[in-house]
Amino acid sequence: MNTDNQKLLELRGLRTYFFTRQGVVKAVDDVSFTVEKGEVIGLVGESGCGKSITSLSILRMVPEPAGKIVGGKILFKNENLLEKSEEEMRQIRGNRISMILQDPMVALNQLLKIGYQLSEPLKYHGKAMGQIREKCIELLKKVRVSSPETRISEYPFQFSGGMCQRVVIGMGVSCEPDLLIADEPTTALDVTIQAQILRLLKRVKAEFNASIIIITHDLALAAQICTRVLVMYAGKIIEKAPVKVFYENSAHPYSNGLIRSVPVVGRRVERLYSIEGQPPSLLNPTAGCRFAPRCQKAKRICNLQYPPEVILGDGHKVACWLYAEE
Amino acid sequence: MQKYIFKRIVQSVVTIFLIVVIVFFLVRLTGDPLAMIVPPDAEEADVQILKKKFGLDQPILLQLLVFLKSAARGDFGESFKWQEPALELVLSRFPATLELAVSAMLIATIFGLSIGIVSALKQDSVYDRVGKTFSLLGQATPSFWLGVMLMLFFGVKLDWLPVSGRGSLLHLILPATTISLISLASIARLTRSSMIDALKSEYVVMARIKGVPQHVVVLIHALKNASIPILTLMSMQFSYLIAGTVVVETIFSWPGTGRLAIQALLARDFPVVQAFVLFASFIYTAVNLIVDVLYALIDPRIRYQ
Repeated sequence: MNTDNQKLLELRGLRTYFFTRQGVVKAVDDVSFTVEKGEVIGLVGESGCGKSITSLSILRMVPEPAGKIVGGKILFKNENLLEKSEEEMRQIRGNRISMILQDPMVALNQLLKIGYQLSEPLKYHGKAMGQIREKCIELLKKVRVSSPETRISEYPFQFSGGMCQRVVIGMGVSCEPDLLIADEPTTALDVTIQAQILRLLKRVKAEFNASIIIITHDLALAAQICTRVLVMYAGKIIEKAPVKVFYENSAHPYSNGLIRSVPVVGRRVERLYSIEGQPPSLLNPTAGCRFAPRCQKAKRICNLQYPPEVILGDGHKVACWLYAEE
Repeated sequence: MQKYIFKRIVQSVVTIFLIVVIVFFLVRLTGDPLAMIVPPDAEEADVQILKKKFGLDQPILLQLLVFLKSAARGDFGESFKWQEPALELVLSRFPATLELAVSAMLIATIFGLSIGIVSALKQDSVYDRVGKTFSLLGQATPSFWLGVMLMLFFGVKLDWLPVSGRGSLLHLILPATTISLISLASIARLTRSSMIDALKSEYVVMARIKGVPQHVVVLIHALKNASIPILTLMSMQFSYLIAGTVVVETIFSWPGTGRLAIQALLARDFPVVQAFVLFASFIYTAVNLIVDVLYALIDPRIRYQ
């Protein structure tokens, strides 16, 4: 079924390193996955595991000069983005691939009008010439901002956090992108607003038929919206599974730990479950499985050699020695 | 917005009034002006006549009242030294100073902003290092030395530019360059650091994610946010250029207010000193007022308060 027609984005062995005074930080280390048309991928993991750097790498926006994509391929519609010029990338950003940042209050420029900021992707990608104002009002309506005609000439500080995130989503979808990357789109918002934003993302997905990568550490959110889940740990993807399989039958000890860590309403527990230990430093990581030091099922080989990717079922892959031949 | 401007105007008027009163007392602390005018062997009766003429025989508070009353009408009395109305004397010298200050400010702004922006964009590159070294040297070079060196090189050795006096645009180049250097260097340094902060911020990342071209990201998204501290510095620098050009005006024989003020001060010519200080503080508060309005124009959060 994985024909190239359906494949929108493919990462092959992506490596993004940061060259610091202390040494090389391997923030994204040999990451491969595909995103098909219309899919909603959940990229799940703890803070600092390389999720955001993966998405910034896709847009070729890794903070330079410290950060650098040192290897791999990013195939978007079968074209390697790593071979594009900066100007070609600019034309893709906000147009074919767009991204929503975590905190809308700081992602919007406080000194520029909402309308201006909303109009920029349209303006710089040659969409809606001459009727930009109407297009912006229409966008605000689509993301359910009330009285868009007046709000278009207001400033971000006159908007609430949830409203700002709606504007950011509006900017993200204004050019009807093929791929929308949402980096923790609800983390900075109230719980009640989170649900609204999630519904909005679902609607937007249906309306524009975009593929979405949602970066989150919130498994409940991933369960609600994603079709597939990728678990990232210390710069590597350790498990890939369809969402249902993941929640019912996750294979990697780390994934199991993550799922067990989610508190369930109504269940009385003495102490909330947590995975022992801390994620490893990405500075000069070990040759073995990076989760091994925290893993209760770790074997001798886990510390010595990185596990191969094992196929467990349809679309379910895990990188763990428990399932592999030594 | 109108309320904001009105409030700032009222504050400016109060500030000027207070400055005038303070200066009135301060100049009188410097000593008796008659000692400078009257020959040492003059008759006591003549001294008394002069005292009466200048109103110096009155109690000091009464002198203040008289001074304020006539000052309100624009009359600052007559210069003890030059026997001309004090304010007119200051005003007649002002165009020269303004010309110098504005040209210096233009040079400082254009080059300071450019050097700062390029340094911030190419952080730690060769451009950045050259820019940083230049800024450091610029802030550390005394203007009397630089002025003389420029004169020596461009005026004497190469014989390209006139070295003194006021006249054509060519006369302006050396003194304006000399006094602009310190402002230029400080603007460059502040622009560099403000731009580095702005370029790292989330809204700049967001703008780039949207596919906004680099020059728009830099000049609209980042520079606008970085501009408030830069504007503050520029207003301070401009006031300094208006009131603090004494050295350069002297070196280049530039007929401006700075030289006049020093001459008046040395002669204890109270009316001229008072008129000068009032005028300088007027310019100072006016610049501040303009900058406050600019802040509000740039930052809507100030405007909508």
